[in-house]
Amino acid sequence: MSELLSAALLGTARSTPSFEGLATGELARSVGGDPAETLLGAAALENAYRDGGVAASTRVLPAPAENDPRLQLPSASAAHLMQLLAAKSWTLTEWFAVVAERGYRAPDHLVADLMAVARTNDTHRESILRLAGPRGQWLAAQNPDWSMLVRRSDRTDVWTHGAHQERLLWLTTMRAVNPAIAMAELRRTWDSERGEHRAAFIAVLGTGLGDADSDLLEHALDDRRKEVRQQAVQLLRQLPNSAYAERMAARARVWVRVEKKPLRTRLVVNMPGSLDDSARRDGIEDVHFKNKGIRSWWLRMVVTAAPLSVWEGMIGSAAGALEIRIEDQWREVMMEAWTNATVLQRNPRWASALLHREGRKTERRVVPIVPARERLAYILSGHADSYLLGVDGAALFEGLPHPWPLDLAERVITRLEDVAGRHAETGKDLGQFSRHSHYSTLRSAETHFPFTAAPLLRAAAERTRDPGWQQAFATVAANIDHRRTVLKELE
Amino acid sequence: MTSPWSEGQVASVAPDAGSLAAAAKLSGAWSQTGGNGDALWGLCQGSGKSPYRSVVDLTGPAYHCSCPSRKFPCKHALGLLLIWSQGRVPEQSEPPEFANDWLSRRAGRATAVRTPTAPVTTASGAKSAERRAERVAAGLDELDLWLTDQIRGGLGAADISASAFDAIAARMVDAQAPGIASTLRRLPIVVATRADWPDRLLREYARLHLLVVAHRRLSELPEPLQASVRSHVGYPVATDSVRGEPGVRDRWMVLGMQTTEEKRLFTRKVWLLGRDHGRRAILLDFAHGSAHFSTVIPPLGSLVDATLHFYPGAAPLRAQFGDTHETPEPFTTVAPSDMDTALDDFAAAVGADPWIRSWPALLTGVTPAYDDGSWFVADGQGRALPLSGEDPVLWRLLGMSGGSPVTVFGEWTSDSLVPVSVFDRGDVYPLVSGTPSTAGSRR
Repeated sequence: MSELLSAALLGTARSTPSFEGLATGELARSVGGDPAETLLGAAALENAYRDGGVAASTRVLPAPAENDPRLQLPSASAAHLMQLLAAKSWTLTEWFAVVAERGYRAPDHLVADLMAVARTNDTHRESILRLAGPRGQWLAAQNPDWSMLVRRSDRTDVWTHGAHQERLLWLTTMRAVNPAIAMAELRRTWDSERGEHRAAFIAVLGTGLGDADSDLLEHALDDRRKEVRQQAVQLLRQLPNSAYAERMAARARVWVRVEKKPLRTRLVVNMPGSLDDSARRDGIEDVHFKNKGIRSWWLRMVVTAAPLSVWEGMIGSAAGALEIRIEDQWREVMMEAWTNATVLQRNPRWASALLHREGRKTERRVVPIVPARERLAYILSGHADSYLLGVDGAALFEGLPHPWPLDLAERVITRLEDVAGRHAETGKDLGQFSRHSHYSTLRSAETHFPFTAAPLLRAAAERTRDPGWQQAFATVAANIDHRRTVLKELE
Repeated sequence: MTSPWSEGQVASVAPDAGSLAAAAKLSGAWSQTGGNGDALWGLCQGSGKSPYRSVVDLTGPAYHCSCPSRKFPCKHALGLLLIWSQGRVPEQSEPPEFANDWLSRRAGRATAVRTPTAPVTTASGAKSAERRAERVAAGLDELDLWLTDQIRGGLGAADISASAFDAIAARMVDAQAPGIASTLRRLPIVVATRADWPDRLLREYARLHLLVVAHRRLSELPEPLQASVRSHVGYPVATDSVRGEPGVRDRWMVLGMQTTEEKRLFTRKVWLLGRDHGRRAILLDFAHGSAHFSTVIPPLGSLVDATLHFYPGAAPLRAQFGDTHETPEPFTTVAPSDMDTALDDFAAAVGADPWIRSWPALLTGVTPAYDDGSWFVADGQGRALPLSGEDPVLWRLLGMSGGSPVTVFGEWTSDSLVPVSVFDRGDVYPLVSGTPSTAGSRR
């Protein structure tokens, strides 16, 4: 065939086609006409002969995917899954939770499409990969475009041989999936990493942070690079069981003590005149707020980083600590530092003591740390009504049992109906932002409402005279019905 | 009232998954919904002041909506179908004014279409056919001159720009040889995308030259081959005359289905295999503007006892449905079929009709694989054939099999298999759209 092709490329005006080497060469000679016609005729003949004569070759098959013993997703759910993903449905988080709990796997015919979605869907990527299971991993390992979706812990070649960005991505992902493996790999190579890379890697450790990380972080306190040292301090402050926390506790015990006199128990602060090197190593800085009182700055850092249990041991309880008398000069610093420590150490006892003491003025970051049961009681008692629907209200709802108890849903709906009533009365928006933010509160509550809230919402829609709110309530009721349908399919 | 569709049926008319999801979200936005006989209507509150007026004629189905969406059907019409499928559309005797206009206009048009047109008299028919043959012959002579010129001057030096192919293609449209025109129109893509384009170009030129030669000697050819030549050139075939061909009755299995769109022309291709006699068939349907085809075909994965009428040709494949004898039912098995069968079938087809580009191929118990940058299917003995097609299709196929044997149906195209659907554990899955067949899995 190559003889015919080279003659065709050159042109029969300048070259004569040769039929040697053609399977149909003998016959080709009998094709009439001028050289161009003969060439085309011979090519047609040879093509037909070759097309008809194709034979199979021999290939070795690669290893098949591991078997996935989990149950296959019910067919109705499988049919809805791609729609839910295409619509980025609010129900997906809950849907995936049920899927994980019941231990379903994706049907084989959806695995490739799911991997394609997982590539672009940051929110549900890990849930999708779990659903796609070993078959998804098998597929991802073969497709270069899907290498970022490979989650098998034995695939550390990216870490050992990848470019910096690939390694950073691997570490970030692995940190979310299996923090221990990520830490083990990082520890192995830490001392040979370049300074700026160490800074980038240590920043990633905020995800999946745990006591097992304290050794490397302690080591990082002696790093040549300031960013690395600072980041290590940031993270260590969140680990109240570490040696670092113990050193901070020791300092706190030296600087602050309880003075017990009859009827006059109080906290007495006694700050040193200068810092030693070990304090500087632990990130207590010598330079900040010099004009505002360097010693209150030191105190703030130590109290923030010392385990809260220090104060419970010293004073008796979190509530007791918040009530104890403190010299005026130090009072504000102590309260701020305790609040910060509560947030950093995610201490539920202190969070709840703060909420009960400060009420509505409680720092927003503290609220979600209060145990869900207490927060629920607080909301239902009516104390939270004034900021239940505001932007700040979101912190109250974080981590509450899902779905919400009906009385919580009822309380939220009643408050929203009040807002709807005001909209209807004034006949105008209370500012576009206000209406919008209320709608969005309703929408984010939608995924948490129990199914039994749908009739309440429909009743609210009937009662309200504002058409926008009418539709908002009706839509959420319909969405809850839809949510019930897609979740029921999983049973 | 027509019994409500299932949610799956509603999904099947959606233009894409996004529209369907958007439609489901409208569930709470409806008012004044109603249905009567074969129509549905309702008002859907959008973000604007006045609600959209949405109407569906279920007989088409056809859709009408006052929204500005260019999707067809739009999310409102789909939403209306969805709440209807949930039994939430009350029956009413009379459509309201906003629906009545469109519905009555449609009814009027339908009657107009059904009015029979006067048949063309045979004498003038023969005369126009003769005139057409002369125009085609003249056009083909011109084409051959162009082809041989290209070869004489050399492909290396020829003008292979898109406009050069377009010019000769336009000439073939004038000469009433649309089959050849569309072949020529595909060549610029070949030149632009394939490293081996000179080889491909020579193949296509040789194929066209052979067609010209065959057309010149049309009367010397046996009848079936004459029909093949005419159809490759692009002579029209009257649908009625195909119905006149002798029928072939079998239990036809629907093995594959694919809808493609090019410049608003939608083409639906359905592949059938006779369960009892093993004959293959293709049904082709066309629709302008949207993918709504006039003929109803049984779903993928079903089997229907029917008589088919084949378009005449030396390797007949395209067919039309004649009488259907039973309602379709799902099938869950196919007879074993190996690579030799597929290759032999193709060789026989090319032997009878050398202009054929592809032939349906069914391979049971083969494992698709991607190794070292190439795609293939291999059987239990390690014998392999190359695969080709679009990336998502091939990955879907690989994901389906997971490295274990499956049954693949596709088109063998002389150098590779282009997969169309895959069978696994009694279900048929299309590879081209990604949605599973409902025929097999409904039970």
